[in-house]
Amino acid sequence: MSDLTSVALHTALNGLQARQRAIADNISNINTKGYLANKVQFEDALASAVAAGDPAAAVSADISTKKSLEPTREDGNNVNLDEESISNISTNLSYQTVLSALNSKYSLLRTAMSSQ
Amino acid sequence: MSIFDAIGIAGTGVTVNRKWMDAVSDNLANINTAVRTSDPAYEAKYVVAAEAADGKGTQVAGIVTGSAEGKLVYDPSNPLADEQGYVKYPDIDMSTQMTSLIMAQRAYQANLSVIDRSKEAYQAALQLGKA
Repeated sequence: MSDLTSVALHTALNGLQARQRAIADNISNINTKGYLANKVQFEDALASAVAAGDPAAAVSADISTKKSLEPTREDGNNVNLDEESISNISTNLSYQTVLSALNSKYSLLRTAMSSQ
Repeated sequence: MSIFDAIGIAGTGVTVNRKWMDAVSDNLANINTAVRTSDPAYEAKYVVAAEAADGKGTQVAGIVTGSAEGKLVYDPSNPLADEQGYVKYPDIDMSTQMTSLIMAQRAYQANLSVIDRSKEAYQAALQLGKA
């Protein structure tokens, strides 16, 4: 299944999972001196691949993890618990949304494959 | 890296914060532990958290101990008092310990909620493709 929809949804799942991992890492290090939060970006790269209608570009859409440049607390740490918690919730919901879109896609395929 | 990364990573946060709470409770339990002036006072324990390699969460890098000098308190009725009537108490600041306890507790809860959320996502993923 290498059509644009499936590929884009798979890339989105990978990106969201990477973000979830980064959030877990950030929250677990909330009291680590000198720790800088990790931020995962993939939406822009994926959106332009989808806009270009190019499945290959959607497969290789860049999922980048960067250290946050936000100002740090006194202990050199810049993890923001509110922001991470909200991001955690929205990442989780996005993940489930993408999963249900994939499920719809599969069910469409199942319908197409069934003999009746 | 396993597929259930986020849960494991948040788990490291739970562990570190539990150790921190253990250290604080140990310190608070010993806040009134008197010793003879000739003996070292109870040394407060402070957990130092560090980032684990490759974005795999956090870990306890070590325990820093406070001073064994303690503080001298005049208490002649204490059986441990020396000839001048002094005993030694550990140099532990109650408000610092309580603040640490709150920080450790909140961080512990934050990590647990990450585990909850991740579990929901993974459970949804397990239903993928089911009719």
